[in-house]
Amino acid sequence: MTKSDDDLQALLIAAVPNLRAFANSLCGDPTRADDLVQDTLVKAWSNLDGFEKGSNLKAWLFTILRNTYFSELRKRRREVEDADGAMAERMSVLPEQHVHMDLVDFKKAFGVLSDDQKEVLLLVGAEGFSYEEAAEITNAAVGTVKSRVNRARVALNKALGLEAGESINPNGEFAGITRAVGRG
Amino acid sequence: MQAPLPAELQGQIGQRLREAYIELINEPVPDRFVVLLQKLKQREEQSKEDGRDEK
Repeated sequence: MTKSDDDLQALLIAAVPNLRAFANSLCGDPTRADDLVQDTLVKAWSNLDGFEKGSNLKAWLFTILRNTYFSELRKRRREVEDADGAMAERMSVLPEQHVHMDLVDFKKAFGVLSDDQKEVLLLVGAEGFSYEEAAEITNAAVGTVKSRVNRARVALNKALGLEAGESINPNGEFAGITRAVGRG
Repeated sequence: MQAPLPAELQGQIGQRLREAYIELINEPVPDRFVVLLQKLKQREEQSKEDGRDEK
């Protein structure tokens, strides 16, 4: 795969909706999310030699994006600490435009998770990466990823006040999954 | 390690997560990303041509 390859451009463009969704979910700010995606594409382009042919391009792009996000976050936190002498609490929630009411509660609940929990839950639960892939992307041990996903689910469950036996969909069908597959 | 949630609750949370995420994925992509990649490619081709001219 080379830079003049039209396929590569198509593959990068195809990954943009997922990169934007991931960035938006992580930082909760659509403008900043798009900047993150732009930085990711530029870095991917200029470091293409570092991409192993035949490996997972999407996983590689997600790795670049989350590394960019967390290094910016560390920098911002240092700046805030320098300025105020204290760490500012950062509120991050999923953006709420165009959402159904039943998802608003979920998005608020998602905001209570730590960044570590959000990213693994998004990678495994929303993007469908394996625990092993998520471990590679986040540069963490597989056991750490599993435990973060578990803690994220427990925290979400607590925030949502869900109980076993209470079905979201009265038909008992997994409408979300079906729709997910259908919309592809 | 904290006890995992019952499978049913995991399923409910997973369902809501995917619904929320798919809404984000389905949002229209701004042109800026297509334009950006075109520019990166053009710059690459331009620098290759410049390299040839110097030889």
